[in-house]
Amino acid sequence: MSNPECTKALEALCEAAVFADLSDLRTVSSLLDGFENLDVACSKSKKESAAALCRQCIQRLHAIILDDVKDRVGALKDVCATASQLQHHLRDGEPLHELVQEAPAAPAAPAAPEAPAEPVSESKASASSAQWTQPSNVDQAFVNEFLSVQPAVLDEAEAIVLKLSEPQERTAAIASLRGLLHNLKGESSILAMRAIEQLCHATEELLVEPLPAATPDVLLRVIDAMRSALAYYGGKSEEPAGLSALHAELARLKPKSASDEQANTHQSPAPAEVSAPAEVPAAEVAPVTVGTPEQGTPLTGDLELIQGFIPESKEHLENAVASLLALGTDATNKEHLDALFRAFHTIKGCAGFLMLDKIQALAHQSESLLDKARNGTVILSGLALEATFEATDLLKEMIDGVEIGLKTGLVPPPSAAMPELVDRLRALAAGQTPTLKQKTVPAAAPAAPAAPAATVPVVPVAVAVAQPVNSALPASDNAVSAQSLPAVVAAPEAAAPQAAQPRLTLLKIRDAVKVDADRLDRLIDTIGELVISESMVSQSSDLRKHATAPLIRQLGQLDKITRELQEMAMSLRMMPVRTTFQKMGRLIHDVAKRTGKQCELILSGEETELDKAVVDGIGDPLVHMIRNAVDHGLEANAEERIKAGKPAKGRVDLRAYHKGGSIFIEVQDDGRGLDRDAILRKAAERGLIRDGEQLSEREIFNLIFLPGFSTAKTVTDVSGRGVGMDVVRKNIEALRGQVDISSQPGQGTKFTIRLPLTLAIIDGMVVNVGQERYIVPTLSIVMSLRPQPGAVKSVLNRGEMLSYQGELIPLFRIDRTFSIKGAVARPEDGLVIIVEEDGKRTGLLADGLLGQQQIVIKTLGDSMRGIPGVSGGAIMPDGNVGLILDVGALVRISQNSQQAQGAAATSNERVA
Amino acid sequence: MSTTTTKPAAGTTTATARAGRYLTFSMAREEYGLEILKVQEIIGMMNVTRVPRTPDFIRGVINLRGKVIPVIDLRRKLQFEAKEDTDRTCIIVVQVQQGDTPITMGIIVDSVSEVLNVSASQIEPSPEFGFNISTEFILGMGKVDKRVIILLDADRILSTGELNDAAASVRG
Repeated sequence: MSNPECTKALEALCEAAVFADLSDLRTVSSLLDGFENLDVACSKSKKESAAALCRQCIQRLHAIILDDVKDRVGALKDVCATASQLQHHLRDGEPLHELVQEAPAAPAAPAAPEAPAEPVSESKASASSAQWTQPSNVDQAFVNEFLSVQPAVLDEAEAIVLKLSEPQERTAAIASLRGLLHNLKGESSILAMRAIEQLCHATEELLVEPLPAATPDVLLRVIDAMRSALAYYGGKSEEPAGLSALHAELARLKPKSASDEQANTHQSPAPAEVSAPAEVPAAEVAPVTVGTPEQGTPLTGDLELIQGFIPESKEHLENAVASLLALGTDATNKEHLDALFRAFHTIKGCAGFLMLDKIQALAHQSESLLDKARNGTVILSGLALEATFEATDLLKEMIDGVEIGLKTGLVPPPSAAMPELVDRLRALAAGQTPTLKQKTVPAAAPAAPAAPAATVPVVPVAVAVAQPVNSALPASDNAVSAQSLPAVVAAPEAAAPQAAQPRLTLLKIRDAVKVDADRLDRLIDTIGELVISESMVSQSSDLRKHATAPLIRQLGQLDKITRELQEMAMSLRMMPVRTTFQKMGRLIHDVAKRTGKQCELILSGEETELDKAVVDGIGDPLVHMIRNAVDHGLEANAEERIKAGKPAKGRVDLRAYHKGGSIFIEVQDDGRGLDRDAILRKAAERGLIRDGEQLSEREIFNLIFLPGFSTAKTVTDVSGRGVGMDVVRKNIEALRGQVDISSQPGQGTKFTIRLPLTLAIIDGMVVNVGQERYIVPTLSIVMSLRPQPGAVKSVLNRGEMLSYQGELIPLFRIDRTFSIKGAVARPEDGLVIIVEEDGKRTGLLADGLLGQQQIVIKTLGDSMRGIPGVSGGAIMPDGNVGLILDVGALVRISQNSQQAQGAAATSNERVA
Repeated sequence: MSTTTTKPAAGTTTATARAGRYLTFSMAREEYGLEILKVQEIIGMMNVTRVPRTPDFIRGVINLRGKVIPVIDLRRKLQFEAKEDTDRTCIIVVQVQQGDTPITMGIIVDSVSEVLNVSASQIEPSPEFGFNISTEFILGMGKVDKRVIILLDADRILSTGELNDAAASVRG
């Protein structure tokens, strides 16, 4: 920002300060933004004294926002006075020693609010964080949205921070991080979430090339601190501690003075930073509005997020149009003005974060105008209303352009109407009536055939192809829509030179609707009911008796539709495993650092969709497994790896994929592999296996999941992995999954988790025991068989063993465990279901198999929770309830009751 | 009864609160009442799936239009003699509050009679029979036209604690 620009921005700020409505915190916070930008600009151009004055204003404004001063009006007057002094200073260049002395500490430590210039702000900082109250003029929905969206933003930030270590991505990463933080800062200041705002501010200043080596770690800690701060503001936790230490660290890392070249890098990646909110100086808008031919720009931000941004912002625009229409009849309706402002503000924020700077610029300018309208400075009618309408239309165009960009890789340049509109909006915001020329241009544009012709050169690549299309268009549409149309047609050519773009993964655009989770669950439940009723009807014997051929056919049709509906219902709960996977990036970073190993995480299959509950539940086990993979799996240091002929940097793969109706997640490291001899030794030591027992490789590795193993300090140093592995297995089993290990000495270890597609439906075998029916999840069954006569041997007249293929398997009778009368007495008349639990096989004796079917799981309700041996219920096709057996628990209680039996020395029969 | 000391006090203070409409039903020639506000619906007897290792007063679970709800046998709960189900046997589905969570459950009774208005003056505190006879789930006694109706506290008939204790005792 040059001197005249500063002056101009300041002028606007003064004006805004004078007119500021103290009851509206957004105005105040936009003032604050303005001064902050000015502060940055002044520091850059080495006007330390002016910057100090800015900071003084900033501090006062903070105090006003936080309601920390008794006399808010007085404080605002102070701000005005300081600003006008600053104005004099900038204009006349007169020295300001006496003023600077008022705020002696400010220039030294602006990033560390613990050491502010005025004692007032010290108490302010602590008071504000001690009891955060939601500003009265901010509506709850806004706060809620903020609190629900930000965790994802922080995750995103974390991913970016991790990229900082890669030299080729660094510049882009810094830029996007700055954009993100700036946005967060703005929003948190509106919500008076001071802790977050301060952190953002301090961190923003830090993000200048070259980054000190320690920065990424500090940044990660900052993100953690913000998370806890968010939790605090959300009322979920206590006030975060240790913020001041973090601030001190940030201040220490902060570059001492911003050199010119730094200033350059500073400015280019984050245009949002420099723009003063009240009035953007002409020179700044210029790059946006250049008349020189533009080829369209590749998208730089996160494509996934941009994809989410499109429907969201369209929704906002629709709301905006509705509000605008309402304002057409009642120009001063506060509610609609607020809604309108919020729509533009959100679009601006998101666009800034996604680096869609043109959209941001337009939204920003409209927002400024609307802000004035909300203050009552400008009446939103006539020209102003018209301009806002146009801005809405143009924004929609541009967002459509982004959508095209997602498909083709290039965003078409914005409409030629944009610079003019931005100018007009600014003029209106400044309270001027746009000149006649400006007025007539938009009006004339649609009508005059010359106007579209003039806009064509903006897309030179497109001309050749697009010309016929263009001329065929009705003249009235051309002014705006011609811009995006040729771009679509010309896309292949335009994209060609950009083929080297690293992230040209083109995403399919989908419309998305946000739905309340409860409603979704109810829908899924109801569809489940429908499926059951349908099968009850179509399998009803009465109906079959009277059925005619057409009826049977129609029932078949009904059945098909119902199944489709059910599949659809299930897919509603599915979400990609990405969020969980991305968290692991951070984990690897932390663990690698702690253990001093070099390590990279390779993700694949993040798109794989899983039931939401599974995606959430798989996080913990993955954390354990990945930590183990780095900590124990990889070689202790790079030398050892190089000696083994591997690259110095360890590698951990995290994959997800579909196979045969299940989801597989694999964690694979290229480390030492499991030491099977050590595991065997340990197992023998602990009496888990008998001497000379022959175990398959798989069985040996599975030993590490046994509870005893995990708590063992070390087997040897080599195979000490297994910390918490029993927990891993428990968690995965709770998700009805299984985990398996394979390992090659010296090559690494692979954990494979197999998960069901959904938690709501399982495959089950229906067995009967006496008069009762039970469902055994197919997943937990190893096999089922009818024993040969004499294959079941009684042991000590207490327990029973099934001898099967030379293996002795303990056998339990379900009827005895559950005290059911009338079950088969001789095992050879019944069915033995062999299940595996904790690596041990156990047989369960039932009467017979009734069938196999897909079962929609129901809970038995709170009052029936924790019935041992029963994990839930299901509605059977006949409408009755069937109980789902919890095989593991069933085996345990069978063992217990048998032991109890043994102790009492009674016979099996009597207890049963 | 451990609650004997607090019972009379509670009885006097909330007698008015207990006035209202009651669904009456009979069991073993005695008449009982349940607050109508707690009753969701009355359904005929249906197939009940027995749940293993639960106390015997829990008959099992039923499918109430897709929701699995527990059903308790009031005869067993009140330690009456067991009796075969008849075509008058039915299940009263009640919604009770257990702590903070609402729970839907079914109560099997011999037969339902009518809905009766019981005013505060007609309610007397539950009697004390001394040891061995539990009266904790009795709200009070309603005297209407020479009839005596035992007003039950649906919230207390089945408590999670009781169920868990029962499950634990079976487990242990």
